[in-house]
Amino acid sequence: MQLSENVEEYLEFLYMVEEKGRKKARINEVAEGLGISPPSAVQMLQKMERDGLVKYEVRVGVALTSKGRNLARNVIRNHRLAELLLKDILGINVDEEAVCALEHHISGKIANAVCTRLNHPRKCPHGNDIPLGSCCK
Amino acid sequence: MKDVGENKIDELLELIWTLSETGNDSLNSVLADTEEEDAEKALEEMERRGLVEISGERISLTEKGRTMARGIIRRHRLAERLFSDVLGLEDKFIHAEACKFEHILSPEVTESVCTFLGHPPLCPHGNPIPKGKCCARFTKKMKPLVMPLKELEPGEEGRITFIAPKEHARLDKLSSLGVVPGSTVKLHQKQPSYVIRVGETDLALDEDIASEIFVKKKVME
Amino acid sequence: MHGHGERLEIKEDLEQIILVGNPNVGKSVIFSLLTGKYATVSNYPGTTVEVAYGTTTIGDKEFLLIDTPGVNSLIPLSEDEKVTRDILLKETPRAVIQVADSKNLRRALLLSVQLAEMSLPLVFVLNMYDEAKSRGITIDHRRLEDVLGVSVIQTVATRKEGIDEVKSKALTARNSSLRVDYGPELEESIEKVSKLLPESRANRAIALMLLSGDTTLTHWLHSNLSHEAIEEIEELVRECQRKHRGSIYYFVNKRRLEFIKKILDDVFEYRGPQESTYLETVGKLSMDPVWGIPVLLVVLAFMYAFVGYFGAQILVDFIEGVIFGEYINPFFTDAFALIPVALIRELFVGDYGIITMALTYSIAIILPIVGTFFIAFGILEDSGYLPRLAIMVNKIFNRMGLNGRAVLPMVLGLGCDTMATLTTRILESRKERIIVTLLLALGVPCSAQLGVILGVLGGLSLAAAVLWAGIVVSVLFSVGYLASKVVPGKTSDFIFEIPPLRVPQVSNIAAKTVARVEWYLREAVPLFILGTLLLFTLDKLGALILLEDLASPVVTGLLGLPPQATEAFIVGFLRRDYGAAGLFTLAKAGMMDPVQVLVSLVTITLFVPCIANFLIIIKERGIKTAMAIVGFIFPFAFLVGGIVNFVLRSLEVTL
Repeated sequence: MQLSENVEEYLEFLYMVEEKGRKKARINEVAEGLGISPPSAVQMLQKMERDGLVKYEVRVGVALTSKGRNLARNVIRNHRLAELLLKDILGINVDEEAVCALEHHISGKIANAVCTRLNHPRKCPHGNDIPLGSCCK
Repeated sequence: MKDVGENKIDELLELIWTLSETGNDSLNSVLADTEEEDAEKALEEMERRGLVEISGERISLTEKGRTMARGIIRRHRLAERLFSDVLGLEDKFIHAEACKFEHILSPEVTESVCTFLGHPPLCPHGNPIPKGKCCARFTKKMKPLVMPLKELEPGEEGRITFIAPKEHARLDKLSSLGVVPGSTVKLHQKQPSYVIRVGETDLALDEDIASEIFVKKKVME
Repeated sequence: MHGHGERLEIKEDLEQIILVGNPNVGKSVIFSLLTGKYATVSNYPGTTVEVAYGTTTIGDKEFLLIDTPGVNSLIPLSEDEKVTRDILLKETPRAVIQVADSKNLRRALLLSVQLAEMSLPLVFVLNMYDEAKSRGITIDHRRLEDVLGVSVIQTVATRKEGIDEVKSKALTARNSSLRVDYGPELEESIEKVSKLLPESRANRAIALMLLSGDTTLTHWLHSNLSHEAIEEIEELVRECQRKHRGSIYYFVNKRRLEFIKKILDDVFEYRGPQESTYLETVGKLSMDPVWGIPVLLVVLAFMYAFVGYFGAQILVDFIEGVIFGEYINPFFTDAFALIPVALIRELFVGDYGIITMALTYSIAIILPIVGTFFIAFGILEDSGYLPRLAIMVNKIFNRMGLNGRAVLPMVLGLGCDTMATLTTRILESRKERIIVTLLLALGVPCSAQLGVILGVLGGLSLAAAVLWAGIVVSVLFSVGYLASKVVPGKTSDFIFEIPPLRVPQVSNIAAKTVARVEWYLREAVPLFILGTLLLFTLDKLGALILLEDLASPVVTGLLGLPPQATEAFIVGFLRRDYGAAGLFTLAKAGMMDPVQVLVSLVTITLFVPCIANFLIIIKERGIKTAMAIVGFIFPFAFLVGGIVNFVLRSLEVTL
């Protein structure tokens, strides 16, 4: 499934909320985190709900579905491996912008190659977990 | 201008450049080789933007078009080198992956990659990589910053950045001898076997193991 | 290598002291000094392949001292590491003496951390203090004592420095205070696994081994735990490995090394490289792609001068010609002349006499050659030259499915193939062990045989000698190459530690040579006597002629040799050098032309070395592999002999 960069940003954000141990995120939180207005966030989340990526309940918040979580895990994995590619392999100081430009385009193949080169690292440079990939068995 | 995607223009610029490298400036060749749909429309748009000049059967890049194409080709071929030399990606995927990367590498990252790879003159397929600003500072080819241990010269030292063994057992064995990322190694000799010193231990290694240990070369004073 | 393998005298009731350490740090030297018993010492990593036992007295109490194979890690990656690990898990020693190479403190501490995890009472010995010093290294050993929480003793074992202190402090051994924190996640898993294990001091260590995926503990688990507990542990291990992915072993080692780095920053000072000594220079040259070859030639010339000339000619002439020829044999011949029974007379002093044939041969010819070879080999071994030779031949050996590490058994095979077959244990994969065993049995002539063969060839021509060597080497190489394709399994990685070049200790070489020669004679002399008895009996029964007739299609037909050569081949089944000696006699008597000599020598060289070797092959590789090896070798030896005969005859070569 081809996701737009926008959708990936949402998935990524929600995944990170889950990492902090919470199941649901509030709309305001999402809007603030992604730097957009709450109404456009609601609009987007509703579209994502139609695609079966999130479950959105008014006033309760938004949570990832298992389908959404699987996709989010991939996005997160690519993001963090992109960071590692830049920092550990290329020795460039991680600049969020550069990473963001890369993460949505880094393919599974490149991600796996980076992952393998670095012996399947567990943590990104910021200390966050990197989800398992197909190469990590 | 959404109807003519920027990526499409990039691809066409790249193609025209590549064809011109072989001395081919025929418009028909461009149209025959491109995988883009509506290429003619895109070419018209490019002409309007002053990127290409079309005169009859001939097509050539303008100064502006050349500069853009140069940047794309440079990013593409650097990405290919990165994938093949550093990431060990299989050859058959290299080109396709580089096609994606060429659009997203920022100028800073491109320079870092180029410096990291030691300002390589050629892509893995043997085509020249256009020079960037960073290359101008070096008159001759420089060794990449991180390279396989086997590419050090005898007498040189390096710090291990990562080890990428084919088998885990190898990694385990090396680590029990103190060969782990962060250790400093000195290459004594390459023939008939690789001999390195880690701490006060001298180790002999097969060449393929030496090519799996990546080091950052210590710059000699 | 094996000289001290006997476990007869293990005194169960004695408290134990165990010596452990990385490979090649001097454990065996300290063992010998403490027990007064010789343990094989060399400058080649992995010499102790079996555990050695001895007793030592501290104060007025006797202790059982155990010398273990060198280890880099207690999560075993090789057979010898497993042996050591198992001892440390099983026994409850009064003290564990960890011997460290002072210049390699980092690796020693990597082991200390693991010993601490096993909660073993520890004493830390900084050996080879002199070498560290000459390399510009100083170790603050009081500081180290504080960090480790155990006694630290500096020694130079080869000069006996500090050994008394080792003795006096051994009993101060206590648990080390070293403790590595592996991070909350792994620590939690360690905690959970430990709880499921039976109460023991080493739980933390065992938990770490299990989590690192150590499969060598399976047996131990099954004999110590309930089925449910094992399943629970397996689940925890899987969970932990899932969380960590990649190698936990590697992660654990990395954490340990990070921890050790902090200690080293505190106690270890390196004042840059000192001027390199001449030994370091020679060491470098000896593995240089260009200079390594002249160095090798010098070494070979030295070997030849010492073994081939001094041993095989001067000493043999003297012992055989003067001592046996002029004194012993005439004396016994005269003495036995008094015995009226001809049969007994001939049994001892006849053509196939025990004294005139078996003893003369084994003492007068073999002893000087084998003795000088072992002295030369001992010097090579202790100097640290062999690992450098391993580097030189690594690529060639690769073609035979081996790596440079196999150089030790192959060179030792030139001394005694049986002994060499035992040392194939230092090889890491089964495939390599099988190939080396096969090559040793097939075509590496032991010094005794080499001496005899060179003696025969010396009487012929240089061309014959070169041809013989060329044929044998190419047969070895081709069989090795084919075996590497046929024998399943893989060649192990060549990651090989190179010890520094050292000046050998005369006393060590003397002790080692005596032990080896003694062992050799014990193996060989009975076989000579047996062989002689066999020939004697066959001769008396008239069966020799019968056998010669039976073998004639092969011996006279295929190989084109005189029927008497059958005798040599018969004893060649017992010992091929004895067979070669038989051929020597035939050649001397002018019963064979040069081509026949060459054909017969090539054939006998490719025989299985001796019965003892065959028995060791069975013991080390199992009866099936042994039968396969032998079943291949004998027909193959005759086949090659036949080919050589055919080719030389067709080309009408004269030698």
